Amino acid sequence: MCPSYVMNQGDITKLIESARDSFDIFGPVKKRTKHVFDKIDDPAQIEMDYDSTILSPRKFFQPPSEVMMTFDLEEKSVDDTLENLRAERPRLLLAVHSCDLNGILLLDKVFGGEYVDHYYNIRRDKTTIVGLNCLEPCEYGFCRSMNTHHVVEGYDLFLTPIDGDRYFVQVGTAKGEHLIHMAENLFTLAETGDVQSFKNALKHKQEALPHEVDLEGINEYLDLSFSHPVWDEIAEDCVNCGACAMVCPTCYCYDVVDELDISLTSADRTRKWDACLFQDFALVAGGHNFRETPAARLKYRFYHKMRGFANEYGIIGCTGCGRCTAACPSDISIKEVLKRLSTIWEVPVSGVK
Amino acid sequence: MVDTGKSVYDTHKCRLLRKYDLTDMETLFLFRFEDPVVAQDWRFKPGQFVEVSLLGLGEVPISICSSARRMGFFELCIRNAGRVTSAIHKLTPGSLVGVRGPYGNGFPMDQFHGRDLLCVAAGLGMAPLRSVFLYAIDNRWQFGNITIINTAKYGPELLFEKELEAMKDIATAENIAIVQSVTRDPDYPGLHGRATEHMEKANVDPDNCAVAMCGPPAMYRGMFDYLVEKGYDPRYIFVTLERRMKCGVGKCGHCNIGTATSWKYVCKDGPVFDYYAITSIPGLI
Repeated sequence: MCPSYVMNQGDITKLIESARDSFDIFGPVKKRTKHVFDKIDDPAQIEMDYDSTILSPRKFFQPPSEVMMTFDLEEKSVDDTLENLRAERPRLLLAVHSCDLNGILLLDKVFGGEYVDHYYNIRRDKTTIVGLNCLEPCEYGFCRSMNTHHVVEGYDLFLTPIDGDRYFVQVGTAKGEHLIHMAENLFTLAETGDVQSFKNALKHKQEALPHEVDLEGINEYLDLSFSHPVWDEIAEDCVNCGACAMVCPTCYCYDVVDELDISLTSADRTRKWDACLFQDFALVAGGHNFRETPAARLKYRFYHKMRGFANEYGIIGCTGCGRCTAACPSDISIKEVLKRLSTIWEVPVSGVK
Repeated sequence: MVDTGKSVYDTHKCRLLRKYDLTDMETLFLFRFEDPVVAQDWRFKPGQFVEVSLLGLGEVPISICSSARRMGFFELCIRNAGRVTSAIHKLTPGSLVGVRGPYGNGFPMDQFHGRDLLCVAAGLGMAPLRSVFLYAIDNRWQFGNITIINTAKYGPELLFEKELEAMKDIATAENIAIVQSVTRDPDYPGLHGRATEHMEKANVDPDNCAVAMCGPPAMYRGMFDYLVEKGYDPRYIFVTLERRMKCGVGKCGHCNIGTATSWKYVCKDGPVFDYYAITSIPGLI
């Protein structure tokens, strides 16, 4: 087993200084009243004690918009842009919470598998991730309910605040070890007392994070409520804006569009985040829409998270980060929807969709 | 680590060799791979599809409709329906397009061996099914009797009508029944009515028959009821579905579908599904 280390919390800025020659560094910074993951030019910008961010770290691996290919229409040649990606500077992503690490692990499954998506995986390979343990609940999150409040993989280094002023540092990968070597003087080997402090921190976390939704029986109640009119009620407020999908750490759907340059000599193929809430998401040629109603689309997203991911990848697709609830203009809370569904046991008379 | 290798979204160059208008809206395109190595190695199964790419205009998923036996070549029957397909229709022989695939599971032709074969198509559904019955004709000794039912709303919309009509010369000797029918065209000189109304012309044995269908959801519902009532084995009833597909490889999410219990990507897990998958997932058809 890799040794664990301890470091002073204040030294995170020194770590950034040591790493900036080798990496582009990103981490949580304040943006007005909220936090976002952004490039850190001045180490003092980083705010390790953040609640959540507007967008999840998904944006680092699957950007909201990315050029997949460029076309030279005169030469009839195609450049898949992968060389540019491979030539990019390595990135260091700091202070990623457990929920988001679990989200990244899920995206790894989506963009891996039989057909490997190079765009995602090259970015992923070039990124070193420093995770950060949350010891206190955040405003909208319910990670403990979704069992995503801890991680055993997905990070290169993982920091847990201990004793008020230090981090307990776990090494996950060789990339993490490499980072430690870059700033060796900041890290000391963890001693028995530090391990005790680490365990105390985990105990505190266990007591502090609420367990609000019971996943036991989730398959049964999702099954029973699939055709229930409750979905029309839940969807009544939904405006199909897609904000929930944009902020979600595990929403991966994308649209692909070709854009012709005004010179007509070149063009780009770009992929952009898409959302199943949008009306034309399941529209096919000829005008048939497989999910015509807003209720059908909202229900689809919910079931895909809660059942579709589990069916395909073996785990629920919701990490309980709570961003969708924070972003929803109609205050639809995925947590409350789950709670509501879990109390429906009658079979609807009709209205099967 | 993926620091080498080609992207799954990269395309092969294909040259358009021939265009042949089937109807006002649908044209048959014959393509050949430019790269001789790809031309030699590229294989597909009936029911699979390719993504056809026009640089700067976009990509569209299209079912392959030719015989899987002809290496290096493939035919696509494309309806002039949108931005990309209308541009494909404007291509002249000699033009280049990008093609990636084949994608999807295709019809399980191996499982069909030793059985009678019933192909039922409505409208554009004849395109993927042409690949199926050409396979059966190319491997005639693997199949029992064959019935092809080709329907459309109007006479001029019947796909491959002439090709199927020409096959009738050898059909009797080969134990192939060919039925072409229209549903809404009183002026059509041939047969009228839906597929279900012509099933008595089928020469297949329900107890030992594989069924391949492609058409609109309403046709599937009607045929399912009919076939199950007549004792066709549901394990050998297969249909192919249409969805919006951007990637073809189970990533973009557009063709994803499911319920509380079952989830599928039409592109990756389909587009061919059996009777049980279709009937257990509301919304699939």
